[in-house]
Amino acid sequence: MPSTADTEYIIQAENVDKIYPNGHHALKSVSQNIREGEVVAVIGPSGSGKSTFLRTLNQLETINGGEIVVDGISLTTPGDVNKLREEVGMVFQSFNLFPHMTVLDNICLAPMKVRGLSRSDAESRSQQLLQRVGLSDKAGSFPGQLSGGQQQRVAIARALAMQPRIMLFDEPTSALDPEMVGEVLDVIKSLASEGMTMVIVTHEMGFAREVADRVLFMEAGELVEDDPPEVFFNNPESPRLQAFLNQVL
Amino acid sequence: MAGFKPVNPPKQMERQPNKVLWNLVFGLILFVVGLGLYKSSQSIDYSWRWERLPEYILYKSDNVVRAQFDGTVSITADNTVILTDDFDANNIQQVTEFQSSLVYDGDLVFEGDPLTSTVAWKAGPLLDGLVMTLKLSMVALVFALLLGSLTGLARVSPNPALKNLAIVYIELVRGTPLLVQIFIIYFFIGTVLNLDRFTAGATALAVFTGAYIAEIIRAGIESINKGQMEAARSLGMDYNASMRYIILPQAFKRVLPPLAGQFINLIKDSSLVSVIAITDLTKAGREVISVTFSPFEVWFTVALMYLVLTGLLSFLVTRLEKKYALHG
Ligand SMILES: Nc1ncnc2c1ncn2[C@@H]1O[C@H](COP(=O)(O)OP(=O)(O)OP(=O)(O)O)[C@@H](O)[C@H]1O
Ligand SMILES: [Mg+2]
Repeated sequence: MPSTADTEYIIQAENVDKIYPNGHHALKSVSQNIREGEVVAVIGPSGSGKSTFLRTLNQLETINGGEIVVDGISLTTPGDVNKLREEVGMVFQSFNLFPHMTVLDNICLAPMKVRGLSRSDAESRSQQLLQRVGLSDKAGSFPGQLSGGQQQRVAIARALAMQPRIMLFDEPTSALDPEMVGEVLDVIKSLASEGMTMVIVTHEMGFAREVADRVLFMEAGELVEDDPPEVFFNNPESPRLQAFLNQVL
Repeated sequence: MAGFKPVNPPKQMERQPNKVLWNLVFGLILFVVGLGLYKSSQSIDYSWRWERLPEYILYKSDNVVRAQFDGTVSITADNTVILTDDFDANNIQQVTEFQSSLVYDGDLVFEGDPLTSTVAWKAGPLLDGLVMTLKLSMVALVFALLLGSLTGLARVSPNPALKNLAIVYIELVRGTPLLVQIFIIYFFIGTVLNLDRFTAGATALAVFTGAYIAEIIRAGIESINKGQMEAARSLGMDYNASMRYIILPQAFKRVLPPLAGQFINLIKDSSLVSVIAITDLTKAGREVISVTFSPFEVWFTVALMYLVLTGLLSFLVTRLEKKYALHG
């Protein structure tokens, strides 16, 4: 059991087991420690448990065994889960913007309601973030009026507005047309260069190789390989990863 | 887009029905059905007396003030009719508010003679019944909305007590006929709590409709993509804030059309309260029939009056829907 204090890791997962109510064993004793500022990419075939693992890190999924400690907060000890989520931003494959609100309100809402910012403070913070993702002119638009790539950049800005210490990305570009993938990946790259701690589930191998400090390979609920990108892509140890890479590359 | 006007009708591959022809067919069918109704109404032994109906909706009342004793009339400058008893000068009758005076200054009148008359429009029993139906429906609607919204929220709540209470309420109400509920609420609960007819009727309607509204609200909430709640929660908002700012505003738009349908049902269901002797539109109709012996005319009129109420409601909700139709 990892101690919650005096540790160099911002995310510690130890022997995590996840069994869905229907009996599916989605995570089998997954352990992973992530340092502050590290960028970790997670790769693996469909249904291997990548999303499940990511979602356990902000407790969108509860776990059935093991222990997770994020930013010093144990996720298996009773406490305020909202406090944890304030520090862990999440970006979804399907954006999940709030369709009944303008882009600006999408970004402002949580800082105002959770962090207690005034509207003017929240708006100036939102404007800065919109500028940063290249969408200053879209503040008054509704999500339905934006392209997929623009929506995903707004979703990233929305998560960043809470000033989280960790960002989780679940296949942020999988729902996008190819020509829009680049604009989203660029935003994530710039975050990486600023030292944001990130866990990114992705199918973009080139991107994983470029930005990740480490790449994880999951299959059938197990964490099979954990390497720096050069080793992961050039000299993978496990035959299962070799087979997978042969298929997709 | 300069210089390009939309083509009317649009150019397309699929064959479209001939609008003019089929509208004519529609008109023809209406005409034939109407003619058939008319012919069959002629063939039965029934004398239609539509002309007698209007007075049961709205009538002119002539309010005549009569002399209470024998005496002499005097009319003052500010148009007050004063009747003075010839044998007792202290005994006087004054009439101030009237439209026309039927006597002149100095007239000698006897007890029971008309002094003044005032003509006014008054609601007949059918209009009174309509107003009662409207009042009953509106009161029931407000409480049904309140009850239904709270129950709907309880139904999706993670708290088992709230959730189970909601389920029990919904199943009890949906599993029993409204008529039986009205009797139970009026005769049992009404007796225990000493409720009057109107309160009992409105309560029964509110309880009944509330259960259906709760199901509509639940369906509305559950129709919102799971990702919306997840996105809200992942930003650190708690369950209540996520509901309030994210889920409910989106669900609200989706539940408007089924809610409108339920409101219309409420107005129609309110006709059942006539069994506990509330003179709503339906009971007024029965009463008018018992004096006019014109059941056909009365029921057609009553139906039309319900249609006016429900039609008005549909219209209002459609406008509300349009107003909230934008985005999401
Ligand atoms: N809510 C759920 N209930 C039951 N089983 C689930 C649930 N969510 C996911 N699963 C199952 O758990 C397994 C892992 O799912 P997960 O979504 O984590 O896979 P993934 O690696 O993210 O796949 P993909 O690349 O397709 O997104 C799958 O077999 C899936 O069918
Ligand atoms: Mg997934």
